[in-house]
Amino acid sequence: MGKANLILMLPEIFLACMALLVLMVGVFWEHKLRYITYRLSIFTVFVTGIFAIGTYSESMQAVINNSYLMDNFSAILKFILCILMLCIFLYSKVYIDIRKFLHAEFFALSLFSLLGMMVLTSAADFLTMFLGLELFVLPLYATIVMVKHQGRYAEAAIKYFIIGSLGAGLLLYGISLVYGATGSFDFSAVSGVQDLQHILQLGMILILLGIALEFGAVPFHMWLPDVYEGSATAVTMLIGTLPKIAIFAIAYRVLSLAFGDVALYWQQVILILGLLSVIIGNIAAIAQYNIKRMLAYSTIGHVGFILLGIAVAPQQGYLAPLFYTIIYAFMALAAFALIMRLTAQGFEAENIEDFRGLNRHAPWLAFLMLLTMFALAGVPPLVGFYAKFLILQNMVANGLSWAAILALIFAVIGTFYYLRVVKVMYFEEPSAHPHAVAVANMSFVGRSIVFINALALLALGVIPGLIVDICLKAFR
Amino acid sequence: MNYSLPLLSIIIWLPVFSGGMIILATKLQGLSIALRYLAIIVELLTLMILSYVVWQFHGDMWQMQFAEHYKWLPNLGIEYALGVDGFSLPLAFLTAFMTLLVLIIAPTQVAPKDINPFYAIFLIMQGLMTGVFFATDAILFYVFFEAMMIPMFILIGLWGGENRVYATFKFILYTFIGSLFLLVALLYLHFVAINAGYTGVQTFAIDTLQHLTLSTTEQKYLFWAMLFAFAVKVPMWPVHTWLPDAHTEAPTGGSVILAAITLKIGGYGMLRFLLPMVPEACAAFATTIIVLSLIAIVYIGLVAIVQNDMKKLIAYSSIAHMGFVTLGIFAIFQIHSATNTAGMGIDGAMIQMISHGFISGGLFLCVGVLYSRLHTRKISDYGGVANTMPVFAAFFMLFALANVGLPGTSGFVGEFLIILTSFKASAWYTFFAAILFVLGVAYTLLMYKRVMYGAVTKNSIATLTDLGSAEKLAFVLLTIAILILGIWPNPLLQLMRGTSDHLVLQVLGSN
Repeated sequence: MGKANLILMLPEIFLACMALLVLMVGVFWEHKLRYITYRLSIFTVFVTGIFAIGTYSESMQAVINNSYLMDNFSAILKFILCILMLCIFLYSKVYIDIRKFLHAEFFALSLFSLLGMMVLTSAADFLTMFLGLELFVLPLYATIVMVKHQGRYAEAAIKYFIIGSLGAGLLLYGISLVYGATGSFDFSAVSGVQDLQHILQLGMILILLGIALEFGAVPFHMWLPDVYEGSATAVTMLIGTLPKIAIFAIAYRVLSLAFGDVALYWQQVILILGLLSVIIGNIAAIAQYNIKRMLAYSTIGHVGFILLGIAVAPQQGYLAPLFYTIIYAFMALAAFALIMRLTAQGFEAENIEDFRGLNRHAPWLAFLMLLTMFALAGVPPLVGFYAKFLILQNMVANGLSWAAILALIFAVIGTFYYLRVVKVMYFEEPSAHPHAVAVANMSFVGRSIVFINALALLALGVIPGLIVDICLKAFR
Repeated sequence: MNYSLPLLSIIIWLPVFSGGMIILATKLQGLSIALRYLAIIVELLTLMILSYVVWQFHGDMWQMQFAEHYKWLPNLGIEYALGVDGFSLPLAFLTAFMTLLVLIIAPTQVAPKDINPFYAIFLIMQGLMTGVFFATDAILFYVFFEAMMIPMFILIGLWGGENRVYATFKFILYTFIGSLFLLVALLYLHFVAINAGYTGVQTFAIDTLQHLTLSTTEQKYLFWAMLFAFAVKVPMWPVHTWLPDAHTEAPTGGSVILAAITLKIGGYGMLRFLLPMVPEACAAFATTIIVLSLIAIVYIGLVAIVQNDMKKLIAYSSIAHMGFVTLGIFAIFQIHSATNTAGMGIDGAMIQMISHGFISGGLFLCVGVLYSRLHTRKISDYGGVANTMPVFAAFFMLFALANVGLPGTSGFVGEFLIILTSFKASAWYTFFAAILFVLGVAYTLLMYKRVMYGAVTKNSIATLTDLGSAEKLAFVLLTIAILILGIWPNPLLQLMRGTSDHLVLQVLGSN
């Protein structure tokens, strides 16, 4: 380890410094220069993204006693995380004014959370992994309670905190057991152990459960709907998109680096968790009238698909679940952004009913929402289809046709609630109170990017090869 | 054959892009009329290109013609591959023709402010449905197969009748459930193809999937998976229940396209996927399918008689007539003597599909004409219409008789060929199938009698106006099509000669 290697961590170092700076600037200059923290944060994420993609290289390098991996996978995922974060900042600029957020705190906390997630994508030992996980979750608890709105924000935050702590506890206990068995925190050290003693098995299962809990997989999904519903839309958007990618990254690292040789021990577990998530997520979503709750349950269903992809990944590769995760993050981003477009002073779009007759007032908005819903439902030619397609292809190739059919049946059941949103927007008359779309609840740049975001779901459906190529590069 | 232009792609994407542009330009009030003409011009242009393809098409060849291959998703083995053969070309032509009729008649059916989006949706739908017929890559086929649901879903939901939301949800969920089994079946075949040593874009090419060696057990599972997808579309008894709702609630144009094209995709899927890919299983389950078809013919025929809603009646009649198609397709497995008779079954099924497209389209247009004037579909609300609408009465009579299978109309040719084939298989099949001739006469002509004949008792009937020029044009075009196909079906038979013979060889040659 030398000085030259630390340069590889430039994105993280820069981000950490800038996050602190944003906090300081917020304390001293926020009231004088409006939007200064916003601009600074945009700049930070932008530059971090460029630095991150700059670490893309043909060879894998490890820094800090091999606890931190820099490879194509981490470079590409960090870049995507930065894009998502940038979009979220741009979308929520006006929203956080309307909802009276504390600017500096929101941006600084988000940046710290982003830092945690970037650490996760590069983690190569259990300690780094735990560090990254805590760093990304803790700021999220704070962002939920930061805004006092009519919802159940306190319940959401406390629930998230307790469940998150439980997850952390599971992880820590698992890590300690694994450490006890192998004497090392290093992922690669674990993979050297051939015969799995009971203690190591137990440790592995606990770590897996911890990851599943952070993912929101059934049966650890209870926190997800409450957190989604209780948080302000900007925060839901944050919780609903980036963490999925970070958690997938750590699942990939742990399962391929540490437990790659003993895949038989965990594949069944993940498969069952995945199927349960697809089934329960899609069924529960039907009963929801709150659109954020509905999207929360739909998330559980999508997480199920990602887990199914991971379950067959030792044989078929991690391309399909990675592709699914990235596509899902962008679909969810578009969905929450469009919900945000309906927000106004003192009115938060909460229920599916709020979309009633939207086609009359704002045909474009309705059309974009339609695209997003069909994409989430996985109907071709939208990009969501190819995500499901890849996962199913891997499952069938692994001899799991029955599971593929089961998952697909529940995906079709899931189509129902996505279509219900389309129905409300297109086939019903507008409700009495007017839509808030006329209100400027998003900056021009934000609106344009939402537009591109949703249309991209269609465009990428026509040329899905683009993202597939990027995902392939990540594993090169 | 060296064609420089990708004609098939143009036929698919020209309407889709024009439709998209029309939606974008809807807000520009000044362009409203221009856009309407644009839609018609695009449609005519598509038909002209399609006619050129028909002109240049070699009917005695079974290979895909006008083939196009472009890289699409090489990493996954998916290719943008198009081509036409004797099965897809007539159906593609039917699609464009019926869409043209819908566009011609639409101004009398839809409110003026909705006309442009209405046109746009039909253009988009037409392109996507043509894509279903042209695709020679299994996944491309699947993408079109599903994608065409989206415009149809919106069409029924936006402009349908009172119960439209229920109908459109039932329709789309039914077909999605069906097609998911198809997707898994295709993925499984792909997996087998990889193990058989195929690589790259070959692994999803329909041609490859038709030539795999599969064990009997595999074939049986695949058969049921794929059958379910196509049976929902056809629709076969007992998975037909979405159809009466969807057809009834859809706007006139939607009903026409549903009956004329969407159902045919099911039959086409059977000819393209089911028969060549899993022939042994088809032979093993032929009796089951034939029995299901006969149930559809007899039972649904009876159901049709008691309908009081004209659209529902025609919808049930469609199910019964599509029962003939599946009967013709699967009867060939039970003929052991001569394979040229088997070819007749396939020919009959194809002609029946095309002819049913014209006839049911015509009948739905007739109901649309009445509905646009009186806003009711109930048979009991009419009576004596022939007195006030004599020209309409003549056309309606022709379509009704064609639906019954009068010789000289297209309805006769297909049913006759299928009856002949089924007779070679078993006289009992023919006995039950022939019941439709009686039932068909009963429900069609009873409806005709109750709607058209009798004295004018209601004031609303007395004030009816006869067909306008647009309606006349559409009906005349349709009449020409029905009569030509009925009197001189040979060109169509020649068009699919090679393809049909090759399919029989593929399917029965293995025995």
